[in-house]
Amino acid sequence: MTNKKRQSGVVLLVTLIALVIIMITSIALIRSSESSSLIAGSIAFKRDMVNQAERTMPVIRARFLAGVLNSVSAKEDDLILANYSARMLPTNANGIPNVLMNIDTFDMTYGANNITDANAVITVRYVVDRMSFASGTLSLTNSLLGNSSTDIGGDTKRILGVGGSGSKAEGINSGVYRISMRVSGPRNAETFLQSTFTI
Amino acid sequence: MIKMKKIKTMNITPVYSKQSGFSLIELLVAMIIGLIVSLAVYTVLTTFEARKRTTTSVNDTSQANTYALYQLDKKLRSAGSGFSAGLQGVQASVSTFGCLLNVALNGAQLLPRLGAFPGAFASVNPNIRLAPVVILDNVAGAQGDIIIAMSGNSGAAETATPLTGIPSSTQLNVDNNINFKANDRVLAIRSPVGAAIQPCLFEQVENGFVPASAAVAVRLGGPYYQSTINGINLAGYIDNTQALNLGQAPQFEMFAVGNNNTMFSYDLLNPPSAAPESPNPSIFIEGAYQMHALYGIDNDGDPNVASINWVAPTGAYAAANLLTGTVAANTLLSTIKAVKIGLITRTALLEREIVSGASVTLFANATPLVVNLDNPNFRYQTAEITVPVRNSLMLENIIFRR
Repeated sequence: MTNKKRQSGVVLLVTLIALVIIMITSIALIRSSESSSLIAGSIAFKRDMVNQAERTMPVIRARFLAGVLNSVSAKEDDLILANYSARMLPTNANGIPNVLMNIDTFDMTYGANNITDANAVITVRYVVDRMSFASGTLSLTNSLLGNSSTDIGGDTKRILGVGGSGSKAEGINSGVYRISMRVSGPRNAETFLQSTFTI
Repeated sequence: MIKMKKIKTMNITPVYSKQSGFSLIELLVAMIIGLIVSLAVYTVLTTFEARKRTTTSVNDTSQANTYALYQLDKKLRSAGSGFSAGLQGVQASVSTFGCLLNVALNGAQLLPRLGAFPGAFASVNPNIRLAPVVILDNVAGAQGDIIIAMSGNSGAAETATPLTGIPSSTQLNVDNNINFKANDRVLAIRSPVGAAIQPCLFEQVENGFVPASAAVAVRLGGPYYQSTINGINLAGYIDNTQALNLGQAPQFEMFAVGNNNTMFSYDLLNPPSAAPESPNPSIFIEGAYQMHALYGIDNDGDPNVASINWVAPTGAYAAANLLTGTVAANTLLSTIKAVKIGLITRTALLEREIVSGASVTLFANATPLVVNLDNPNFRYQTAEITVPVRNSLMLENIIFRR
């Protein structure tokens, strides 16, 4: 009886050692494939956050085309309920408005307009500012003009190309507006995006 | 005492006889069982290890593929930012694209490049012209196509700023300098003369610059500032000149799969370098096999009708034809609304058996392209992405006037 027990003990030992080796390598493999999918997942999240930020565009477009920022006078003053600043906001070295850098203080002023999606664990915070040193009417000295329909100053050097001044449509100066977005996503990821438009 | 000792000895003897009971047969059986078990364990371990290596290498390849396409997606999506809106008063699509880039860094001319580009980029024309995305078809020295992507990141305005007078050799004069920051890179560019697009000068705003209300000067300085580059003098830009702000870190890059299954990126705004801390070209991913790309063009003449046709970067859309620096070539460039990239990656593990076919087909739903695989004992992975070139989407018929 004692001999038989010893023999099966040796086989058991060899098998156990093999199992331990397989287990250790399995764990290593699972960890490597876990970290691999973690990285792939993070990249996917990052990519999704850029796409999610696009939700801001139709909201702002609607405000500028028909909503609270449609009129010329509405665009001349700050409008907190539309996350709008009529003057250029101070930015950090990367060109991101400082107001977006602190979520808590941002939410106290502009939080009501945050775009959230509980399923995607996404919060988009945004602010629109006009490229102008001061609020009020757009001017050549204070504002960046994307498209001016009035002939300013008569400096021929600035009347260029096709059509010249004569073919300009009736209307008023159009400013350049900057949208800055901060997307907070899963795994504490943050994405900042900016775009400018003229209207 | 003596009696007791004897009794103890008597008790131990039977235990010895029980322990010494291995017969030859028993030993042989045990050895055979041990051998079979060892063989089985060895086979299991070998198979397991092989699977592990395959899985790991496929994982690595997938990761490299995902990473490369994510980066390319980002770069191509914002390609053209800062210069696509064109010059004010000139039709957007025909005014800025195709200008010959003149760039100098710390007094040394970078572009047009004097001599050939390094490595996989050796066959690229050293006269680099401004364009959001250009695909060079099957370039010698590279595995497949080379992609050139350019974008600015000013974040203040992607419109051109007309100059109000002749720039001096050290400053630009504008209506107001609100959209410039210290160290911004700036392209000075003139309106086309007839059908010819004029060359542009790449400059830098000086370090201490602060924009101010009613200020009209943008002072230049810093490593990228040079008043005369490639024989072209900034002060000679006497009229119809505008400034394009490209921001602090514009990305003008080329991407190619080169030797050793490595994909490289080359920064056009820096000189070639072998320094380990800032190599140029730098390794983008390892395990790349070939890269190919198609243009998605909207050439029906109506910007309101979205119709994308996929064309190879050959014939009319060959790089040499797109980058002639003429209004006609720019009209073609402006029809490019999207890019489709097909990236083939290869595992680093050479398998014992044949695991792949002789070829793969890219762009099966657009313009199919059959790519031959060099060694069927490697595993290959293909991935395709379609990226809209956002800044080009609304190019047609936009004319900014002032």
